[in-house]
Amino acid sequence: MPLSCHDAQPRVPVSGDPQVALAGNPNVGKSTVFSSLTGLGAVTANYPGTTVEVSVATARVNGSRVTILDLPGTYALSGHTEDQQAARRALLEERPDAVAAILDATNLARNLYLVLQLLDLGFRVVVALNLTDEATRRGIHIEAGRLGALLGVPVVPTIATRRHGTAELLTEAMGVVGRPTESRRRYSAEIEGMAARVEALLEDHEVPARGRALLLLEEGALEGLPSGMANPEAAAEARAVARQVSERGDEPLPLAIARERHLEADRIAREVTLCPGEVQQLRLWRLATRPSTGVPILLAVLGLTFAGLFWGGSVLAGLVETLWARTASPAIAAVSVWAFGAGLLTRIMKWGLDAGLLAVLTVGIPYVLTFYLLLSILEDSGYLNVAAVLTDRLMGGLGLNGRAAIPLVAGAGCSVPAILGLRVLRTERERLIGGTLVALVPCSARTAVIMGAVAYLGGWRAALLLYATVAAVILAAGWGLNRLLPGRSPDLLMEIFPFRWPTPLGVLRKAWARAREFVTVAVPVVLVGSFVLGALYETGLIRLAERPLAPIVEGWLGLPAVAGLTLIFAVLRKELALQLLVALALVQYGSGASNLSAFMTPNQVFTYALVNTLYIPCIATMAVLARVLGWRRSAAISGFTIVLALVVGGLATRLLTLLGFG
Amino acid sequence: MRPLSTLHPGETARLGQIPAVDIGLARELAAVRLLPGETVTVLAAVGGGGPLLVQGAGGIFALGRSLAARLAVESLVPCP
Repeated sequence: MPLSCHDAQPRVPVSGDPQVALAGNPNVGKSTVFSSLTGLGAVTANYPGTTVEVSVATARVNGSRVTILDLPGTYALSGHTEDQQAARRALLEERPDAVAAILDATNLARNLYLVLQLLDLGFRVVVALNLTDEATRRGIHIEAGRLGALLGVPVVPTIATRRHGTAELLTEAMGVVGRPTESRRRYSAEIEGMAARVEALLEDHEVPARGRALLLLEEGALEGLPSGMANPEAAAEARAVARQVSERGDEPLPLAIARERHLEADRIAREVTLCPGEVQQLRLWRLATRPSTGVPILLAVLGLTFAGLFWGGSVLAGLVETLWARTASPAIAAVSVWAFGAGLLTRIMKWGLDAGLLAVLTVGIPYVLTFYLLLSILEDSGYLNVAAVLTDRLMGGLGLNGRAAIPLVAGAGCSVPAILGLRVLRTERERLIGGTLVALVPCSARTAVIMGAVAYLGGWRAALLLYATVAAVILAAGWGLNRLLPGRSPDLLMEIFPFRWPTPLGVLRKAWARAREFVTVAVPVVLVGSFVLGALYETGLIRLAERPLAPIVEGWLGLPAVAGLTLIFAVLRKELALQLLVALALVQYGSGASNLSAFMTPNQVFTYALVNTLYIPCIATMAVLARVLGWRRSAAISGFTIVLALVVGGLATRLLTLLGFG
Repeated sequence: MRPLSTLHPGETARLGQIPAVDIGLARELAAVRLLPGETVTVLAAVGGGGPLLVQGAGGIFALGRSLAARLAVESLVPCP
């Protein structure tokens, strides 16, 4: 996607403090360095055209404040993947005072590629040789001083998980701030000659002309570069040079430059590696990815994750609910009565503040936080990559790849963290498909309705039939979307890391940073939604919707009109629908209605639960969908699920009637 | 030349040219040193059409089977 170069206003809060950016390949411990330097207080900044986020936080070094930017993990700064674009934009637009490149000491040559690119672009770089403990274990020995001399930058060996060397890294980074930079000509005469041709046409800029010329040769266009970095004449010359190369039948320029940079990185790595160490052993990986052993392990891990989320979540939710009912609920009631008397306003306040806040708490803390703890453990241990590899084939049929497996399974606990987890997907197309499918996966609240109504009245076979129907709908929706949406989802290309023990502190930090996002996104939306629905309910205005809804609810779905009203409230919390159905039915049908079977047939209960499961995700889910995909797409997905639920619900009730189930 | 996806675990091969239409893919692979001319070894192939685990000079990568099918390689180990 071409990015505009005219909206280059800073996206990172301006503080005047010096800025240090952390750059590095994925899984080198960059975020561990970030959290060990900054603690918990990070905010995130989005770069347009991407949903990849740049975390920003403040650290202190020798008593003065430093802004730390945590860039997305990326292998290169040129190129068109979202993480590459986001890292490049952040670096080129913010122009941090120093860049700390975090390197995996067990894979030095590959990691040096990014460092060389940073140096080409004239950044003041310090290198952290991270994972030195793992390197030592494998017998790899790197001469840090020599590496520093060859690169012309300070090199600090670090073990971020134990906070070794991270403070020194920051001190070194502050030491290079303001120093002049040099752009060494490291590549072949041919590449340097081509760069010089473009360089001659470039205007002055704080980024060295050679670096900009190389970037233009690699990118072939101005798109994605901040304004002022290059002029059209230089870009035209870069294109002309690239054309000449391709007319000669030589390798495309971006590949030729990448090759030379890799060779240079390789040369440096060989020169500073005193002992190459053992080759990485992948015995556990093989065990975990061989289908005969891997699939049972995967099912066990997914089962444990699901059970942890479902049981752990419901226990915590119950605890929160009990505590709330004993303390906050009476307090809110007392304050409302004191402020507004015992009338309508107080009853609406009860909806908005009491029920609304409780809804956030019972989803947020138990499910979101628990899920993020589990996800962070899976992620930091490296098992997430195993799951991606094992499920890749199945996901491919749905227009996704293996990376989508975890968010989809997580959806069975709560859609909200599952959708936030869609960020691991790399294209808009995948996130759109993934978002739609997660919205359809029955979360624990919907499971509560299925269990409380369908399984309770119709038995486990009815509940199983409902789950099978929903699974079929999800597979069909993924299959259909994959064919309908233009383009093609990218194939899996993912680095394989050895398993690592997650550190408790690292897991906690990660989980907390992510859970906090849920609170900021979902709380306002759920609160406002609760007030609005509460007002509609308490004023009786909601009954006005009964008649217009009748043709759909009674005519098409064959449900009592009152059931349609409760489905509106399911937008707030899915299990609220069932509670309200019982409550509203009580008003309409009298005391006998407390048992659903008194006024709904098993067929109707099944249809009701099916529609409740499939149609429109709850308001917190819509809010996070909007956060990840934008409001329009969130609305489109919600609209799609309404249509889907009505179609499937109408068909199901007719089919059940045909099969002789009243 | 044959597709990388047809290689068996243990086989080593040299990566061939990537068609010009796939330049985006070629650049993504280039960043991790999966460049034409580099040698790769297949470590494992996940059954049922799953990804291939491939060792290159830049590290070990999982490549989806359809991605592996788009990469032409020259096998360096004669088939038994």
